[in-house]
Amino acid sequence: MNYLKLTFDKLEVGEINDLVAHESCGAISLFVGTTRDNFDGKTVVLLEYEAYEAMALKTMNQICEELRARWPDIKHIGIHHRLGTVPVKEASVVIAVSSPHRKSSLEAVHFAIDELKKSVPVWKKEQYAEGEGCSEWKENKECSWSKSHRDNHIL
Amino acid sequence: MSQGHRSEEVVRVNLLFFAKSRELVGTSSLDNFPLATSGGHLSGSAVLGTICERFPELVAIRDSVIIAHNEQYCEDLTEPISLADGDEIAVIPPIAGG
Repeated sequence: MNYLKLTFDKLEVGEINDLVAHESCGAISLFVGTTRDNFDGKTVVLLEYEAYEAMALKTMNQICEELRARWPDIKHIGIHHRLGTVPVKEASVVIAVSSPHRKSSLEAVHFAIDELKKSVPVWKKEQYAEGEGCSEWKENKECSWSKSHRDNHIL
Repeated sequence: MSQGHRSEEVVRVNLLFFAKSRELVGTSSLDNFPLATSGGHLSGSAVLGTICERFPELVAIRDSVIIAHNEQYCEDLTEPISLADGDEIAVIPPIAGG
């Protein structure tokens, strides 16, 4: 099963772990992306996430298909992304994969977060502390049309 | 169409704006937005150009956004897109998920 969700609620890592748990599996690998309190020397007080929800779920599903093609022994996949206001230190994304042995789930989780940053239409705005410049839309360097990606690929 | 002749055809699409583009235009969606196509075809950059004419505030970020057509990225904006009434076109600034 693929358990995909976009939610405005706080992500519960244990809950997602339990979703992918299976008696035939000897491993669950988890990635938890959390919100940092600083950027470029500035204090981040708040983060706001938004998504193109239908397309985000579609691209998350494509990531699952890719994982299953690369690691056919994967049992369950869970990808939950939080939207709306996320206080610093809390999880913005949780990816969980179960497999009979650890190699597949470990590799798959790493691949999945890299792909998510590249392809899932979700945006994040950082709100900074007073007097440090109000807010800024972030760009993943993995996103092929981001400024940093373009700058690094100009020969 | 069978003669290979493409006539001018107005297609009405539903626009979606996200993140910085949503803030700049001040709305998250606009239905029945007319696009002048050639037999239902238009390049991604021409679609974006028409949107920027209607929302000049987007010109500032035009070079850093792509569009999605019916939930599919059109990363190469030079490629022609086949459009029909009711299609969804989203303005996609650089993503930042995770």
